Amino acid sequence: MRQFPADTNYSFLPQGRFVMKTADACIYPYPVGDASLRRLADELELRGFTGAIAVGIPAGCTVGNVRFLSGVDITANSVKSCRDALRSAPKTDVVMVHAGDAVFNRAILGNIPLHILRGIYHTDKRAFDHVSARMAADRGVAVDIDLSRIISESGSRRQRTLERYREISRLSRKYGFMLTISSGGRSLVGLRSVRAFVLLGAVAGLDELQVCEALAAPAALMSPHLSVEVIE
Amino acid sequence: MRPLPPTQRPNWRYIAAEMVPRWCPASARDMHYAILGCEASLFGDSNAASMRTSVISCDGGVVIVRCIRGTEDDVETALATVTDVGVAPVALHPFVTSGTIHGLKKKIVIRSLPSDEGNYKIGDNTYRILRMSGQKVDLVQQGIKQTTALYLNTDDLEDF
Repeated sequence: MRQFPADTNYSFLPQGRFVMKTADACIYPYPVGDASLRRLADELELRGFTGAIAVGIPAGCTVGNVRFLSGVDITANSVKSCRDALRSAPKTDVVMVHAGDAVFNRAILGNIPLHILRGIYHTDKRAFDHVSARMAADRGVAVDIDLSRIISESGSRRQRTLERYREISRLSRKYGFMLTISSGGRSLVGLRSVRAFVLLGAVAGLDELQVCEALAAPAALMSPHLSVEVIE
Repeated sequence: MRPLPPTQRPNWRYIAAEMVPRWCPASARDMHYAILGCEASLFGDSNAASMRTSVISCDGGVVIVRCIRGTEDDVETALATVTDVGVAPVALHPFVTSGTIHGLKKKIVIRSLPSDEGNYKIGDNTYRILRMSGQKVDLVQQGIKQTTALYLNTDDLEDF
């Protein structure tokens, strides 16, 4: 049985080189959500995570044994508005942009320096096709699997979400772009354990290896493999 | 009536799940209906029926669920999709599975319930302070329709 941590020192440590083997790709601490960063760190550690991308924190930090990357969540309907939003947003470690139709997705994958494409569940089934998949693989952009849509939705919306996620996992296996998995938790109640990520990932069509890679993807996004450059 | 011989009894598995937040006022009956609803919603009525899930107990922040052997993964998946019981938001985190309740209870550590430590005011809102284990503090505001909560640490309480 897991033991609950006793008094732990939750002092904010300076940024260090932390290996995030298992990271939740999107959480919302206070004031967006209703749990403080220290409390979320405590809970994430208890649930088997070593890191997370937190939206709304000014900079990346380490709390206890959990490494937090700061993230910005951008929703836009054109490349120009997306670029404007990115310019006005504070500097963060991870840029996440919500997906739109096929034209928008290809445009942002080609023109915006983003790390994660989110909100794929509410797009059309042709919005992320083999062209977008190849572009995401080439540019090192990850596609997010937001488990909160499986957890909180039901009926036709959940069915549509599962259908989209299964298609994304198939494309990921074929074209090799990265996936991330997030709980999208705005509260302590919204967080899930690593085990739940594996089980819900299986429902979404991800095998265990894909889930493991997706949990490690936020760390990989911070240190991308640069393409080989031939110098004559 | 003669009891069924052990070979003819169903093979049960017992799953213990931690309830978050621990102070959630959920009864075993409400929890049972919430779990069955999630199973039927995710896997369909036919598969939910084959799991034969029932809630054995629901107190002290731990829920004990019984299911047929071989369906533990599906039940755990369904438990991960539980978001509320009645009107109270709650999350269930399974942490141990066993073939007997006796074996399961040996692995459950009984922890003290959160202590009530008066009120705390943030802006116009007054919250009830529930001190959990370690440095965890929950601020709970009991409304007419819903309960809102802030999940903090003692250090955060000083920062406010």
